[in-house]
Amino acid sequence: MDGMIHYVLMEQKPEVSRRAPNITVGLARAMTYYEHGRLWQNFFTQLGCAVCVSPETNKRILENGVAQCSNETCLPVKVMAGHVLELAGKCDTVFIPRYMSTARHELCCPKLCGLPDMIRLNLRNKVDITEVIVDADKGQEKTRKTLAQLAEKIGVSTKSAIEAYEKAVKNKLNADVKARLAADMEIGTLTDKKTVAVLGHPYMIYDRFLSMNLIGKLKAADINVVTPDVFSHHKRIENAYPYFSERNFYAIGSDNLGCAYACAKRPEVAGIIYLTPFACGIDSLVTEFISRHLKAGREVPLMVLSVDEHTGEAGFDTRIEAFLDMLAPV
Amino acid sequence: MKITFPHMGNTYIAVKVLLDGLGLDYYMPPVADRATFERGIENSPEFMCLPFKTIMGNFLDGLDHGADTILFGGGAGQCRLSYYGDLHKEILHSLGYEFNYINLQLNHLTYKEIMDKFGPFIKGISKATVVKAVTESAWTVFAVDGVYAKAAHVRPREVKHGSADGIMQHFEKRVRTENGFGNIRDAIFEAKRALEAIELDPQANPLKIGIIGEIFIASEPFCNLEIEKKLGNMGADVYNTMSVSMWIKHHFINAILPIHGKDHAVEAAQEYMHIDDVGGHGVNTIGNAELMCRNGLDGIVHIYPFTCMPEIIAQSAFHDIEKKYDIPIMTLIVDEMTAEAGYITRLEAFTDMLRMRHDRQKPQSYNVSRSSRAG
Repeated sequence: MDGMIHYVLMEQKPEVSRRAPNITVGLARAMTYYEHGRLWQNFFTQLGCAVCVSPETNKRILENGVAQCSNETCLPVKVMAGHVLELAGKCDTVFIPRYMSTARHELCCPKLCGLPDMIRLNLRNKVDITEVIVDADKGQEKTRKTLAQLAEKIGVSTKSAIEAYEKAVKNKLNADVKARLAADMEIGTLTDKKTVAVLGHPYMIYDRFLSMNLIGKLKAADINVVTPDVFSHHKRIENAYPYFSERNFYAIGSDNLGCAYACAKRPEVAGIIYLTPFACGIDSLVTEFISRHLKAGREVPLMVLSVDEHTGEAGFDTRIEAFLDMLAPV
Repeated sequence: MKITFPHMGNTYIAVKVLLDGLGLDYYMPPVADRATFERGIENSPEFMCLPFKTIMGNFLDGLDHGADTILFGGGAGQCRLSYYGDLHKEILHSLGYEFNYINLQLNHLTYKEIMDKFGPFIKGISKATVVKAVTESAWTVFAVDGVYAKAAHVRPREVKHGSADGIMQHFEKRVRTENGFGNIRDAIFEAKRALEAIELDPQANPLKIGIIGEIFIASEPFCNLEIEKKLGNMGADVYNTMSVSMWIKHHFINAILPIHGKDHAVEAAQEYMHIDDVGGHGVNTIGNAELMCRNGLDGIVHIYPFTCMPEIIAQSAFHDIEKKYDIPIMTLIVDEMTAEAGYITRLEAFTDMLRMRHDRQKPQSYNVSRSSRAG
């Protein structure tokens, strides 16, 4: 399949048009888009490709995704499949990065390591998928190899693809949020106001549909909201008990551990809500560490909210209301 | 100092040989014990995978019986196994236990690492004794897997139903109570001889069923509800790719030897996965399914614990593999809530369906692979 598409593309675009590939690349607004979407958008723009981003998650996208994947697949991956389907016909290829690790001593969730394969297999090759391996822990060798394949596919030189990667992506994976995230994602700021920290995977807490607008609802209740992105990567790692510095752990795990303990030190943080997709493997570890460790220090109330495709909004809202009522005034 | 260790399938036999050979004091938690299992579940997070909970139960039982040192193998990879140790320690400490935790890094096990971690134990023991104990233990791993493979071969072919099960029951009872390499070796030889003496039906034409999936569940009869035995008694030759000897070979022997062979399973999986590792044995599972299909098995059972991340990824590839070879793959997911009756029904339905396909001789014209994916 890959070979065939490649052949078609090369036929349409002979050597002459190498500078401007005239290809539209689809980016799914799911999973890693909520961490690095802008970086990849810049990467493709620099290569001269048009970029098409799928719309915000909605009921149709969720249902399409759920229909394609096995039951056991986690909610974010199902939604990802829905987004990729949404892009079918609107672009020449859908780009799904394969994240093995985004920093030294940090690992990604197995689902991210297998994401391009999972989506391709679950969608039964309905959509052409392009990948680039990102492995900051083990080195750049595989990244270069996949960048070369991508360059050949979209008809640019390998050198320019590597250059664009180094300029747009490589050193910005853990950069300040302004460089990485879209402007409308609300990370909040730490103030003296009564604050609730919303933890979880970025693709859960920033996706307004999956999170049932949790951040918006808290704000409407006149609560200041912060997310793990409010702390710098360095600050999070520093606090990530028991996985400090040199110890390997899931990147997303360290982010949330670090944020939880950094928040526990600040008196204005009145509570923590951890939003997790049903049966998430990483969260099963992380929430346990957080809840045990919080008990040892200042007892910050913690609520783990688990959602899946069957979750009803009314019950969800009731739990948030009950949690807010319980929080002691600062 | 008293050591305790967790169970995984039949590893306990080799571990016993090793610790007996070194003359160390240890406590072995009971094999397949419901009460320890329940305690592990009570003290584990709800969504951690079943191996974590089972191992937790073993540790609690061991510490209650006077053990002060825990022997465990973890790693530093994408599978949660790598982080079991930290959470086990955290939970056990909060329950008030004090102990020494030895966590072997199985991903990059080196001779130095083994010596560093075991140094304090084998102080004062002669080098010859250590080498002898390790060699005997390694032999035991392969010999025991040989016995189980032999039993799997006999079950669907025996004339008198239940003969192999009787011998295995006696064998398991013996190795659990006997100590020392000499006695365990005798038990192994006794079981082998007895299995070889069983009268086999020359007309038997058993189904060939492969087992793939998560290694702890695939090799632990208590967690997989004795799947090998059940399928064997339903008239199937069972090929379990996830044996303990394979695991030992992978982690201990390959790690110490400088030569690394090609991993055929990982290679075979490249058609579906464009990466060689997604944590755990995810890629191996796909590769083993592909290899088994190439070898013409009748059907494959994929088994893993609920919420296992690498195996969920592997599951995505089965639709393509089933379609390519027209061989059904059934996925079984187990956790502490799995009930045996429903489990048996599914295995029976699967073997019956395979039997019908087998007898028709022309499986190509009956594409039933989709229906086997139910659930």
